Amino acid sequence: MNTLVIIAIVSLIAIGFYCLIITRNILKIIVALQVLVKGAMIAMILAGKLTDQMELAQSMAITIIVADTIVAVIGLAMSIQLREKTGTCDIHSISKLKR
Amino acid sequence: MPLVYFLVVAALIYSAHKATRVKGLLNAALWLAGTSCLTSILVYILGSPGLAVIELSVGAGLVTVLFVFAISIIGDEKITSDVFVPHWLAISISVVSFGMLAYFLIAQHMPSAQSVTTSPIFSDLFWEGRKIDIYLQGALFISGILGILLLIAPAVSKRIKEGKNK
Repeated sequence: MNTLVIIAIVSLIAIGFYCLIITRNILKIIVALQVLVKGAMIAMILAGKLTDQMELAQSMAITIIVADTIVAVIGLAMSIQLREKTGTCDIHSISKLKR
Repeated sequence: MPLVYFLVVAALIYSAHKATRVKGLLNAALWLAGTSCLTSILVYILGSPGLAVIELSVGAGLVTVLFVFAISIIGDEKITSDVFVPHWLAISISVVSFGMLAYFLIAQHMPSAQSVTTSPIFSDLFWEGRKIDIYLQGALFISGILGILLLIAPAVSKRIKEGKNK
């Protein structure tokens, strides 16, 4: 069963990483980050279960969820600003925000 | 039990794949919500029901609502220009690197569960042992809320003005 969970962890991280490489839409990048972080969170829980430190793993996973949510919120707000300022959601146009 | 694990893991991988590859941002947000639900089920099966509830409420609830809110403001857009990294290279990098990671993780001997007699209670560890972390997380959350308000306010007020002019 641990092997199945490891397959899930590696698949989630690989899918998120692949999407992070190829996509240019800022909203899709946030989706990819969310998928990637879910893999990391499951890895944390599995590590806690295997070393019998479930409480520590849970508290660390809660920190991961909080940080991930803040990243998503800031990213979505930036995507709205990017769309308003440049008219596109292309990540390459994000440098135009400073002008 | 292994069948449940298999079904949840298979659905999780399929849902994550659809969330990143489906056309349309709203569909991607809904598939992401499904991924969060399945993640919380997997976390529950792994023996952490409290975290599963938090993941379900934050990952599938709050983040999905924020995604739909953002998509309703900026609309759906297809970017058709060339990507910096070609698809075949991205697939190769992902498959080789994470395939090797999976091989080494599965091939190695997994540590067996140790019996720790004095395991701290989760609430004690969370609220007492990691007190500074919790304060920092609270500050991070408040600063995030203030940040999104500052960033969204001009766009929302512009929309309201446009609506009044019409």
